[in-house]
Amino acid sequence: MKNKRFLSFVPVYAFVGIVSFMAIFPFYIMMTMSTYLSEDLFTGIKLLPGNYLIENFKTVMAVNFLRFYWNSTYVALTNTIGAVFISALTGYAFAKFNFRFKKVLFYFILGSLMIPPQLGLVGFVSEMRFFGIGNTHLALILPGIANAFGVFWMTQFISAAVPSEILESAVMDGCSTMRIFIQIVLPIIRSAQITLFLLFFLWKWNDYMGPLVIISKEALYTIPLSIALMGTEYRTDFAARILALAISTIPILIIFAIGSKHLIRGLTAGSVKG
Amino acid sequence: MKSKWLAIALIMVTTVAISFAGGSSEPVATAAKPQAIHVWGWDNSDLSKKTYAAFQAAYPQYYIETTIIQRQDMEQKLQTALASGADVPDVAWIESTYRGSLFAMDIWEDASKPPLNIDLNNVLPYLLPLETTAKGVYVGPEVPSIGGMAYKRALAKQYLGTDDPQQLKAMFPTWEAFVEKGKEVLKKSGGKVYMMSSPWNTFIFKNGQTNAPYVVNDTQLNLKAAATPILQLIYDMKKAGIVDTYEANSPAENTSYTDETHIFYPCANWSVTFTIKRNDPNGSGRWGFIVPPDGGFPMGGTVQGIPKKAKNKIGAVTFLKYRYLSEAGAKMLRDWQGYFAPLKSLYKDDKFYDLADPFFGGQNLQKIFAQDILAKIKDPRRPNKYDQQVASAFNVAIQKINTGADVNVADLVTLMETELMQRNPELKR
Amino acid sequence: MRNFSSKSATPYLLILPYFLLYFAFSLFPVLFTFVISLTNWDGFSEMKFIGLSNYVRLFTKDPTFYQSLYNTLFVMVFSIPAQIALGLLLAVLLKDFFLRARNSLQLINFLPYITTPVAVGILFQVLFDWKVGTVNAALVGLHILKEPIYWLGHAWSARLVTIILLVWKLFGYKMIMFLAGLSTISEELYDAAKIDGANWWQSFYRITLPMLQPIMTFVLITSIINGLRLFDEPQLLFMSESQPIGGPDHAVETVVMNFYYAAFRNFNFGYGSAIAYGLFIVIFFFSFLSMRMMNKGGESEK
Repeated sequence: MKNKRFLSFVPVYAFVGIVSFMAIFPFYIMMTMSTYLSEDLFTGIKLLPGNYLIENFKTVMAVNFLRFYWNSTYVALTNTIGAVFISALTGYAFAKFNFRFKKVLFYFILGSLMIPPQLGLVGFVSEMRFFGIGNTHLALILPGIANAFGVFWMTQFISAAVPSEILESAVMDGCSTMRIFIQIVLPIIRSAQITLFLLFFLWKWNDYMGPLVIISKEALYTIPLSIALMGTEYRTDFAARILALAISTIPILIIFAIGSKHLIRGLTAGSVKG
Repeated sequence: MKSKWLAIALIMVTTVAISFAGGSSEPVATAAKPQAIHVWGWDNSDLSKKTYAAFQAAYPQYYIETTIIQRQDMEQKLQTALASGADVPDVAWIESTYRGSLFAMDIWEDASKPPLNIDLNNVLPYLLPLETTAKGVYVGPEVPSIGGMAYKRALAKQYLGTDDPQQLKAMFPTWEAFVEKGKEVLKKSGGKVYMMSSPWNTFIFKNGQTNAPYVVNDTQLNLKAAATPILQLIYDMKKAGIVDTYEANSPAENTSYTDETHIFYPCANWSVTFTIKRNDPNGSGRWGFIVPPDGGFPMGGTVQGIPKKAKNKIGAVTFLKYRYLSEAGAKMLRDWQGYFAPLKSLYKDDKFYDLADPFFGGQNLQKIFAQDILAKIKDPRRPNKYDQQVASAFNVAIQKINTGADVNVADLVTLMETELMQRNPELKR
Repeated sequence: MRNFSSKSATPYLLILPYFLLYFAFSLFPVLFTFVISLTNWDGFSEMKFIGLSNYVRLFTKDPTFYQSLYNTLFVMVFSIPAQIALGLLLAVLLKDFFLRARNSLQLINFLPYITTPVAVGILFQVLFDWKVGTVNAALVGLHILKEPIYWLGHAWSARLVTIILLVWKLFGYKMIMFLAGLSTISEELYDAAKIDGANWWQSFYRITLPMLQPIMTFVLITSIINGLRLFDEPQLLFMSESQPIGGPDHAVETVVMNFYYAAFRNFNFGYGSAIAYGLFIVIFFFSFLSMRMMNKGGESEK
């Protein structure tokens, strides 16, 4: 480990402690909010949990929440697996190959990052109808698989983390491109894969605008849309909604907790030698 | 690592299979199969569902399929659906905030003409201009939503000397009198008690009670005439110190319903259940209701519109006639949700809306709303496609007053005009 | 590092799936929108071609576009360096000092990023409320302020709250990026430096920072691009009925919000699309600039 005499422990611990506290405080408040009756919520910040959790939970379950949970899960999962793989594949090409038009294509991808998501909304919905997949989950899954951010990230990561020497020796050993990619590159960039997986999953999970305009059938709603169901004409049940959203955060937390263990393993064991 | 490929392929195939399975569950139409009426709205209450069930029992050839959307998303969703050729609903809920722009879209079937044939003679006259587009298309019925003024009895008694509604009403023949009385209350309470909790509440009153259009002749701004009285009242109240600084309908303002420092609130017929009783659940008997200075006024309201491109327009209008323009429907609205119906004939009988409300000290709110407000309501302001932007411009102005900034009404009006002209170059002063 | 030079079709085959999918599902809608920007379409009537007049209006007659651009840049200039600094600092500290607790601390500091935006919006509205907000209560209670501040009612404070919200939300995300980047730096480099007598700061300055350059480039560029695309946070923070678009005096109305309201609330699809493309041009310009600057220092990019 690095020399620690320059920084003593206490200020470091204090600093990290304060930052972490501020990071977690609103989350804690959110959790607490879901244990109150909606109208009681705003009579001041509640620091201790209330007693309305069961009721709110019943409200959430009453709208068939599990169904939306399932919808969100498999839409996000399929989309994410595809996106991570494609990003790695494409990033590998940009990072380790030279070819004509490479620069142009790369700038194209970079340029596409700049496009605000709402820009293509109308054209997108028209197109989905044209393909006959309007108002279906397929229309939610397919588009995000080509993810410019993922390609950009993978390109940077692969160029930093995968030494060309290994690739060259593999080529000299007669390995095919796909074999090199799958058996050599992928393992090295595991922490990048995991990072992207977590991010893509999170983004897809929380995606509101896409499902809002594509899906008009309640049965196909994902979680962010489903909170509209909690409430009546003039009464927004904030507490139930927050509970639903808090519940929906749990899978993210879980996969992130699991994923970060892998990240750690990458940090301590996976450093590339030489 | 071939297993990874396999896993991916498997997942993709499964997804496609599920998606197609999910999409192809439309039943084959037979003569006996009920037709769907698609409703896009934001009410997911059991009471609404009961109403739908009753309708389906009376008209078994139809069934209602709801898609719940949040009110702030309705406009965009409708618009995207239309723009992209996706399906539009048979009935769409059009809230008052968005009414102007949604009407201006000109996508609505005229429900008063064949084949839909709603008889406009059955509808409360004051509602008709609120439900008709600028081009004269009658869009659809709504539950009349009108507002008056609610007050906390204890505070009224303490600072105004009485909690009797007749006496209070006599105390405030005009808003000026209200402001003057407010100064007294302020003095008496040592600067602690306010007449109103929010300048936006003042806006709700005055905006509803005036009807000068904000834009005339399509592109001519009329703010000097129409906005000045509203901003003036807010300004005067602020100057007199009788209005607090909450933002209306904010979580914070909701807490003021149970405190001892704010007396008066705008109160629509729907506010009784959803605002007053919600925010002060133990307040039974603590509240009173009067018709405010300048009278009752339209407050909110959601029009049920049938888009031209809807697939089941006949079903839609059958449902709307049942729910809003039939006595059976009116009873359900009244008994289950405390709403009024737009059916004119009901108001000749002053026994139809007749219910004492213990929450309001036994006052017969339904009767007051029906006879004292609905029957006497003035010609309302027409919806206009710039309404949302005007509201936003008002917000800028009201916020400035709210912060106590040194502004005058004329400058604020000019500010509003500039705003609107910047975003809509076709508008002129 | 040498790359494979290609005489074969291999790299093209590798990038084909991406581009196919992209063209199919992302490119068309965006091109469609460009076509719309040359019309005055409102989304449901006839489309009438009006050439570049939307763009003329946008760049020469619309002060709100430049105002929204200013608002966006203002927020970015203050929030991005803070996010990056905080994220980097935390990443490095976690790596060096918190072996056992690292997992949980990582998770905790990432929480803001995964907390649902809708809940965050409500939360911050309540936290910074003028009358019942915790922030005012704390500041007045600690005698830092005499009077509570109307955070969400003044232009300057609205911007401040937005910046705070963004830093809070995004620093954990930057931290993760840097942690992943740090994992590519070989421990041996640090061990060798230690043997040579370098202290923590010197290791950080001479090993960590340079080795992180590709990741830092990435983080900076994506931050700038995402910053220019800002929409969700100000939208949610100022979504109540009493707020104008983008908060008091439209202080936090970003370009994307400007586009959104023009296109989807005023039914001015044509003009709205032009706003979006106007933004695109700005983003392009900025990205180009920042990549140029990145390329000048440090190792060359592809």
